[in-house]
Amino acid sequence: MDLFLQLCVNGLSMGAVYALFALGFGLLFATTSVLNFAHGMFATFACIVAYATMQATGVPFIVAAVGAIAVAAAMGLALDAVAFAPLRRRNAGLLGPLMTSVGVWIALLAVAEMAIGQDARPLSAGGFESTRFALGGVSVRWLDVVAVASCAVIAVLLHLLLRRSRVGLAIRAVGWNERSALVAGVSSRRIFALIAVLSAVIAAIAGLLDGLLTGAISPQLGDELLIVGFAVAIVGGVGDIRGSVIAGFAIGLIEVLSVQYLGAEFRNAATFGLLLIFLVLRPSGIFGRAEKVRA
Amino acid sequence: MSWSFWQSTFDFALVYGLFALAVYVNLAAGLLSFAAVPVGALTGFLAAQLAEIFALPLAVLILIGAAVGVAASVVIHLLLIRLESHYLAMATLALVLVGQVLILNLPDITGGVRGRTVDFAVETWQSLLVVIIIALILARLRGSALWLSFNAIRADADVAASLGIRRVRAQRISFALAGAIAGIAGVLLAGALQFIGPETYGVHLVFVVLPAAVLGGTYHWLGPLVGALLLQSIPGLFETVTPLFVQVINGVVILLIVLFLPGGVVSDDWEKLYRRLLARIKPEDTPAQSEVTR
Repeated sequence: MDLFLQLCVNGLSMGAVYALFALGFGLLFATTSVLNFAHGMFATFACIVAYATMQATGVPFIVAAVGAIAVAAAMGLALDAVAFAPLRRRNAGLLGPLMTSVGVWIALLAVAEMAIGQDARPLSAGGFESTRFALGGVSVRWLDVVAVASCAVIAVLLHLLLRRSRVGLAIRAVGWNERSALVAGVSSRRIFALIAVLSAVIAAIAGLLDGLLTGAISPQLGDELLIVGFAVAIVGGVGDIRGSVIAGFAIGLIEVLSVQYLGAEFRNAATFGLLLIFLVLRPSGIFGRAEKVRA
Repeated sequence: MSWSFWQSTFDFALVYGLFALAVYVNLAAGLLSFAAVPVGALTGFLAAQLAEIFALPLAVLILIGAAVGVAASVVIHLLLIRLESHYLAMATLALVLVGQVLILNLPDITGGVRGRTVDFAVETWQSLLVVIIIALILARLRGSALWLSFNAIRADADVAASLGIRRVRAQRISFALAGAIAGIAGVLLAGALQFIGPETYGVHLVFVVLPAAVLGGTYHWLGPLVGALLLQSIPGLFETVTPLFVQVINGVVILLIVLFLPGGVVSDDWEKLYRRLLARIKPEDTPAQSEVTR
């Protein structure tokens, strides 16, 4: 029983990371209808920048992390300006931004490999990641608590932003119909920039947590998160906050439990099996609404 | 670079071009679907298994691939019929991922994580012949009522419906046609590589095939073939550069073409780009142009 609970703790903290990733991806999709395949790169580069900063200057992790998140925010703005904004002006539909994000992803993945090579590098928060406390028969890392708490806090903040603030109203207006929002006086340029930054920052936080939880970073870190995050987004309903959080935790738990009780090769099988079931029976996800849009 | 390198580039350009053609056929009907990849995986591993047991000639394997491809694609369309646009794209992308997991977990047929050898080979002339035949079929279809209905649906599905064009039926046909092409492509890829595993028909294939289709151009069947050739040639053209930097160039090329030639390399965007550049340099010299909206 203790093993089961221990696994649940691990599953919940990984699930928190997946949920965060799905939140960032879903936010961008729900508001701009863009499937950003380069989303994983924010996580990857946040880890690389944090790692490199600590290696070069020896500052504590938290300082490096703040810097890394700032870099990710800048990357988000740059990506939007280069890859998505020109296409918005042209009303390019689904395929245009998707393709530019693919091009950026291919290029950035190569840059990441040039930066730290193909092998994994260790990421450490000065020992914080190993501190634990006992809860009943289970040993819980403080890091697990931080991960789950971060997810909860960010989800709540995002919900409050989107549903209870003027900025959130503007975001939803732009997501619904950019032209109408412009007529109502919303600066869509600023809103798109804000969304780009938010999406990138959330992804960066998820990436840093993933790096600490697994103790290692690699160029593929972001993409592995993106694949599972993508599944979480679909199962939960893309763009839906509750859905992403619930699905994230569920998939985190499923993943950890199936590795333990079914075998390591089933790690992705259970996740994608669930994904397939949802796609066939309820493609809009737990909480999603499938809209009718043309390709 | 040596001749054998360019021949290998050409071989893979042909096979990836076929996959890209499958994506193109769906795009022509207004659907973005990555189903070509898992369908190709199915036929590729099936062909490898059949060749091991029965020693069938390549032509038979190709025909089986086409038939299985059609069947699988129609089933996929039936399952995902309620999905539109983005959701269809995401669902078919998820199918790619699910396909990879299935490949990993059926080691008897697929060799599991280690992959399996393929007992039949595909020569360049065979791939070329297949591509030419399919190109001729698509060229013939281009002026047909079916393709006109595709164009109508792509332009405006509701108006098309009001003209009596049945969208779901036309899109199912596009899925079936794309499935046949993808099924053949899967068999050819297995024969070209001689060794296939879970990574062969994975997400990486999607990101080779999709850029080929889009960069080449989505308005003419020649587009995806040109796109595949272009993208496969990049490592050869930049042979003095490190492989990682070649990938950067790859990504940048994709980005630039989507931004400046959105219709692809095989389109009239060159002319439009020329006019835009002309307008910037010498605004008074640009002739008045009535733009016919596509």
